[in-house]
Amino acid sequence: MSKRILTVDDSKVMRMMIKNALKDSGFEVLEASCGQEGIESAAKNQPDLIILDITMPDLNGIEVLEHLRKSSKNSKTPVIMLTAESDEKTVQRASSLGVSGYIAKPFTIDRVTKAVAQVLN
Amino acid sequence: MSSIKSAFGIETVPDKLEQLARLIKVTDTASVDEIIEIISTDPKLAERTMRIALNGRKNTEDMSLEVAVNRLGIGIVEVLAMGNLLTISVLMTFKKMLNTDLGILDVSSRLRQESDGVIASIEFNGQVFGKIYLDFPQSATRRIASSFTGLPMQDIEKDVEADSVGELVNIICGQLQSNICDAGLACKLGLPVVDEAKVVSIDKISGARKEVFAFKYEGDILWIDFLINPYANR
Repeated sequence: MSKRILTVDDSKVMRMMIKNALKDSGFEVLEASCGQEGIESAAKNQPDLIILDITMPDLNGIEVLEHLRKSSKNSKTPVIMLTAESDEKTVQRASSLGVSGYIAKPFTIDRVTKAVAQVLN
Repeated sequence: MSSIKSAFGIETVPDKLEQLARLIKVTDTASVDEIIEIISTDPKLAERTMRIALNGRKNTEDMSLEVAVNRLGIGIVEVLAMGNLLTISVLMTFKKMLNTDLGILDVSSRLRQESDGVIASIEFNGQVFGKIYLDFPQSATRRIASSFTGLPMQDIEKDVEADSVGELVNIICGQLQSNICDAGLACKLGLPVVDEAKVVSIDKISGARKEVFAFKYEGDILWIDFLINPYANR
């Protein structure tokens, strides 16, 4: 059975880009367009990995991550941050919440597929 | 590179960051000699400082860098250093996300046409306050969206076009904001706003200095207006 990945990003084109690349690598990809939807989808679908943006209009990615870590269903789900916010303080905060990877935008799609493979293998 | 960023393999521009961090420290103490020393180590920053101080005139009076800095005021050099970081962000974003090398154009010799595409803007707020406007011609927005999504240009819908430009602006400005924060000035980025407009309507920001940049993207020209007050809340 293929591994299931949830991508949470308010940008439709970013989700499309990630989905296209990961589907080509044989993963099942679910999408959420905001933080709240991401939390609900993670609880319902139990993904093997979550790819999470930070800058979103409702809950930001760090708030989503804090919520996931406190939830009984997703407290240990691996998370890769994929975001344009990469100042040291933000990276430090994400690291303290136990992220498995942190990819700063701009990125090459190859960087994403390699990071995903590294976490899931 | 910081150890935490290095651990995650996040790329940085250490020389330009150190330059801005030093300028931020030095402009607070207003030491012109130190500012000259920092600028002198970066020929592009020195050249830009001179060009702006000369304001389009030839350097017939043989103006020195010291006179140029005194004429401009020391805070402007910080804005120029931030402009350098913005240029790096733009080039890197197009290279990595769209696999394209942009050309840097000399804005003083170019006539700006009315926009036929979209104008995206994003705001910074914190110890520095400012706004960045990016003016994208329509043919450029289509190409950007097509490159992001893998869809043929004729199949690109308006919302995907706007979303592509918004995301590109978010990436460019997010990188700049992260660099400004790491150099010592805490600030947050707003969400990008994408509008169809013929002319960029620039907000008035008290104490802000405006810099204009132009880049060649295949057959198109992208214009950027960078408005920033580096002393907003220091």
